Amino acid sequence: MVIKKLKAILFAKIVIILVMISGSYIFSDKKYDDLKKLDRRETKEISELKQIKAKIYHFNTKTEDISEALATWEYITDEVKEFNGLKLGDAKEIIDRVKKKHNLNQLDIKLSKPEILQGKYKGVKVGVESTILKIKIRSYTDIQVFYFLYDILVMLPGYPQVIKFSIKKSHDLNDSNLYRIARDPKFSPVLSEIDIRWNDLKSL
Amino acid sequence: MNIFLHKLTFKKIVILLGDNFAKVLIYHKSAIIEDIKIADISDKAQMKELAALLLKYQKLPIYIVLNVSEQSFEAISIPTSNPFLFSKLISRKVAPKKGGENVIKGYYKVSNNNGKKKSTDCILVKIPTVSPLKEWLSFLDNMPNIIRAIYSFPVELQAIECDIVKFLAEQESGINPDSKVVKKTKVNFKVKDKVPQEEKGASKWTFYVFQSETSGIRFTIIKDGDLVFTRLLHYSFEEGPFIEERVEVIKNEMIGTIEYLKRLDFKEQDGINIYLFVDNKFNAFFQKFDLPNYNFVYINLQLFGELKFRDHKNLDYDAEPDKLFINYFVSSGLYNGFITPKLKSASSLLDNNIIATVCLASMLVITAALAVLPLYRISLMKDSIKFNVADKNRYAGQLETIREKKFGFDIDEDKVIDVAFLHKKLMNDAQDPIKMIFEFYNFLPSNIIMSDIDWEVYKETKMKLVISAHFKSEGLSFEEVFSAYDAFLRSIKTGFPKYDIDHSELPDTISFESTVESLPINIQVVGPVR
Repeated sequence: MVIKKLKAILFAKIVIILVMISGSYIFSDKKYDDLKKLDRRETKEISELKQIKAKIYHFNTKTEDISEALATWEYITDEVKEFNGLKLGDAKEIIDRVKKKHNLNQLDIKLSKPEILQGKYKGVKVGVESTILKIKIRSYTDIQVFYFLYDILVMLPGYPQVIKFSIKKSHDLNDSNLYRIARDPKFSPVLSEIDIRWNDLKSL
Repeated sequence: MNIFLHKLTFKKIVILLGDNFAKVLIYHKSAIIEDIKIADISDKAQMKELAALLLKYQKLPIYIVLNVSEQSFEAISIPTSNPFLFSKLISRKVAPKKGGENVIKGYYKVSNNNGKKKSTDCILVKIPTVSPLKEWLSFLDNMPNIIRAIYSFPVELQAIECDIVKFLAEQESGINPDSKVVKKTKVNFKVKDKVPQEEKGASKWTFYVFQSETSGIRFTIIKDGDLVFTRLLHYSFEEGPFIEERVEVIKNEMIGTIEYLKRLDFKEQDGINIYLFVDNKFNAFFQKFDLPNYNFVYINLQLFGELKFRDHKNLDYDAEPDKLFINYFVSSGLYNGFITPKLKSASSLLDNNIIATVCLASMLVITAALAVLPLYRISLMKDSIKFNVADKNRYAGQLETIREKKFGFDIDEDKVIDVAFLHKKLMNDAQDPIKMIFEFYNFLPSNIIMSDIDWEVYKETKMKLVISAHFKSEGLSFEEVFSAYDAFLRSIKTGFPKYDIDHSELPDTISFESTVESLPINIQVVGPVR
């Protein structure tokens, strides 16, 4: 009788121990998951707090920069209401117009895939969308090319930056060459290649 | 492990079984909570009383301590030093062949004296299940209590010398100055040999004389810490206190036993400590005798008991020395128990239950720690998050005020700062080739005709302009050609002071044959560098 009772007690103790082991494992596993979540949340809160403190510090110490930034903002937003990046459709129209205006013989344009610039042009809410325009021009004179480039830089919306520009004159514009031009309008003594990095602001 | 399990059994029943009678003591930790004397197992009234007591404490295990004359000891050597093999060999091969049936067998290990390192020496203890043990086992078989094991009185008390040494040291240092009962006879008592026995080449012998009211007088001889000999002199204390003649007989038996030891390997020069665990009356008679030159030490039972078991109150160890010995067994015994196969399963079950209880208690602590620790950390983390959120909200409020003050209500300041920064950056980074080329044109004299222009952004912030041109020397003397060219170079260096300028030199030979000499030149302008 006592033996049976002892056996039953022993069995019960073993069962309780096993239940406790598995229960404590499940419980602690869940709690450690909760801890991980809380840890992530705490890190996020601390990071946000640091950002806010940094902003306050920035606002309080860089008053002149902020005034300048506001002035720039007002100046830009007078003309641009939204930052939608490069207006590729407008570019084609402008280039066609300028080509016609300056009576260029031949104009060949290649455009790279637009991309948002990183590194020194990286912003928080606004970034820089950029493409490379590769332009090849044949003309009668170098003056035509200069005017063309000037108009492009003025008329293209955004921030065009010339990164490469070359002019090669195969013939001087003397009487015989003028005569040749008169006979053959496609004769182009000037060949120019222009690489422009065309940038514009884009909301991220 | 065995002693650990016994120490964890806080409540237990100890039955001291002697040839005269038996004593049943109920212990809670080391305190006696009830005790009963069973003078005759055939006395139904007494046994009924005992049965009621055992039923009252039916969950408590029983420890039977035997102090009967019917127990024999045999020194044997097992040819292995492996403890596992030794245990198997002795319990399965050696013990079954010794002593016959109805004998409870056990062993205790002793020092290896036979010089063989690959063997284990032990003493085989044989306890025949004869009266009164037989009747007691039969009686207990019908009781619900589990018999933990059967213990031998002399085996369990063989290590008492450490406590005696401590007791005597305290007596000598005057911790208990009231004591005047320790009388050192004949030779000075040596507290403890500081020199190892191997160095002296002599054995250390100890002789205990235990006065037990359940049995009589027990002689126990210890050699180098091992029990080597024991005998029981029957004496019934119910006939009255000691008389001188009886004490003299016992003294003679002691001297006779020492003489017997000489037949073993005891030598007079080794000396022997004889500890007398006897009552005052015995000691009083004993002091009168002319004793041989051995170290006889009388241990006052009452003082020894009070020193060893300070929390035991109102116990008269002089009247009941067995209680002192059983207290010693409960607190410091070897628990070298012997058990029959029949009792083994129940005893093992009890051990397993104790282990399970310990595991359960440990698990409770671990589980509690595992539960509390993450909960505590979660609580700390929640507090920290709460504090950070409050801090964030406070600073966000401040930021909002500053933002409204500086930017107004409807402007996203991040956007403003981004646009202003990027606008400034893009404007600053934009280089103007037309301006640079036209500035260069300004320095060109009419006799230099540009043919090719190569302009590019150089190392992000600089510009590089390479001009290929022709210098027309028409109408100029040789000297004038060089001086005109030098003048041109000087003018562009003056015009572009912040730029590095490289240029080609005029050819070494200039022909004046042709009317218009066209000299090729190259100019490279890189900057600004200063």
